[in-house]
Amino acid sequence: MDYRFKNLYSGIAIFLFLFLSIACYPSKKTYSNGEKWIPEDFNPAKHTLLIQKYKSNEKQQAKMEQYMQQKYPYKYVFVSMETIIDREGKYADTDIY
Amino acid sequence: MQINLSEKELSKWKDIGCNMILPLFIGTAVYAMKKIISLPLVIVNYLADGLWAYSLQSCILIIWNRKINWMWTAALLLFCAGFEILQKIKLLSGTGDIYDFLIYVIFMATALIFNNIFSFYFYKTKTHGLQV
Repeated sequence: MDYRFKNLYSGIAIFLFLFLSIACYPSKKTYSNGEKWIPEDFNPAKHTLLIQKYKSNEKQQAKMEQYMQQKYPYKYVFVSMETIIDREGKYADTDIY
Repeated sequence: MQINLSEKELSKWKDIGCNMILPLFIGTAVYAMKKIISLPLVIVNYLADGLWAYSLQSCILIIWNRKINWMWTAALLLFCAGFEILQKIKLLSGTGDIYDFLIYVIFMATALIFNNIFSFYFYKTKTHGLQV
């Protein structure tokens, strides 16, 4: 293969990967069907909201905690995903959590 | 329809399948599986990114017949660094992270380290020479 084509293909490969990477990220951070994600019987005044901890990034976790503190006046707890899905643990009672 | 490929072409397609398509497929599978089963966060956050970088580095190596082209390797590093910086300053979606960049470097280095092995395995040649 000619050098020019190799250079051209290399450039195309990088451009293609960049395009695919950008295309794979969600373009919006909100969802139009957000209300469908909330269980019908969930009552923020009565139930404690369990939120998954973002373990891999402490800065983002701190931002989330700050956001919840400012925007969510009801009860909530940050716990690991394992704790949320554990049907026998402390937060297993779906009447409360 | 019959497709006749020479041994060299067949080797190249095997190389593409093994070192470009397979890592991308595994990376995609990790993303798909995280919705079904609980995977360790290190795997979810970093493995797919690393495999993406490995696949891209392999792609460049395959284009250059598995001879290391340092100009494009450097361009790739700059591209990865730029990608993370653009995320950090919110010009691209995602979270700019130094660990992401380190993962890219580690996986790209892995592709370079195994270059000779794959060169010999697929093409029966050793490529110690550099393409500049």
